[in-house]
Amino acid sequence: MGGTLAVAGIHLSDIAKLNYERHLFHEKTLRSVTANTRQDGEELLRVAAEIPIRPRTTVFPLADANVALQQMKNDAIQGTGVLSVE
Amino acid sequence: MSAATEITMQAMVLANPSRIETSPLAQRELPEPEPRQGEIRIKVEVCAICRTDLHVIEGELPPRRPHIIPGHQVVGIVDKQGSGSGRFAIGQRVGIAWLRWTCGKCPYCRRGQENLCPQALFTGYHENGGYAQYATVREDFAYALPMSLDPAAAAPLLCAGIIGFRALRRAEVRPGCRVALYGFGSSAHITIQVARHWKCSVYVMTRDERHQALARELGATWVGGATARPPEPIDSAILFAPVGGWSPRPWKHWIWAVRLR
Repeated sequence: MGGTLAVAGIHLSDIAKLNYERHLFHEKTLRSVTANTRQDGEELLRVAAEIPIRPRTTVFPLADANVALQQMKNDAIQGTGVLSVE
Repeated sequence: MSAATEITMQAMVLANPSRIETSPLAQRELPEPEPRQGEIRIKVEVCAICRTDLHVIEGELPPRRPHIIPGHQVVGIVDKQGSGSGRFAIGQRVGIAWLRWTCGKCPYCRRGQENLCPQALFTGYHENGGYAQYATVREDFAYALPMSLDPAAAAPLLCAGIIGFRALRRAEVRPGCRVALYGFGSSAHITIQVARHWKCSVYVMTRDERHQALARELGATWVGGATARPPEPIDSAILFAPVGGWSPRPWKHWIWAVRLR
């Protein structure tokens, strides 16, 4: 019995060549994650309140969206970048 | 044109998809959107950013609409209802997420897989999102959020949180099992909090030292660089880094590390 990999992203560079015997045989499972259902969303929000989940955020003004996204691309944001609109 | 549509708002608009280093988002003054039938309008408080926004902005996802306003982790206060809308009261806090419409009739929608609906529409991609002072959404695709919640802490839940949660399930993560996370950005740092709540041991592979430090702080059992191999076999892995090749090597390691149970 294998183990499972889920790819969480909407975009991935091309997947490397796999060797069936080493990489997939023995019922290893490779899966994608495509968006979510509203039920996923409601359940996550419920779980988030229970735990409670505390995201780490770095706040930028809306006008600095380009800067915030560049920083995310460069792994310079810990946790999540948030644009403040007010 | 009614007086209402002449009122303007500030928004960050994508003129032409290009690398983020060229600052492709431009600040524009646009008419405030009007909620259509079944929709609500929110006055946006915050909008969290997501790697998917970057894929839209840099053109890795094919453009669906010119001059799109990105952003799909939107938190705000309901300020106007379209005709027939009544699920939320004016003044209530809600969230807008990536999924904004599905047909409700196709086989996927009918069997609880609306995420696979071929006609699904997404926020900040097919229609305008939350990098703006106002945003609209069908009320049945909005999420109620408590007024006690800090909007900036709620916004990351709307994609980073939800996708990580679905990924935990897709990776068949069960309470107490060993989980590997490849990449430790926005979604992973929330996902680890759910996994730790489920008493899982979490192994994190990420190259950035500050991300490694945050992973330790959030309870990772073991933290290594992007090419490191977990010291123990694992049950489930989630790949957050958008890298499918052998180099850098996380892709290679997950499949070696996943144990034969």
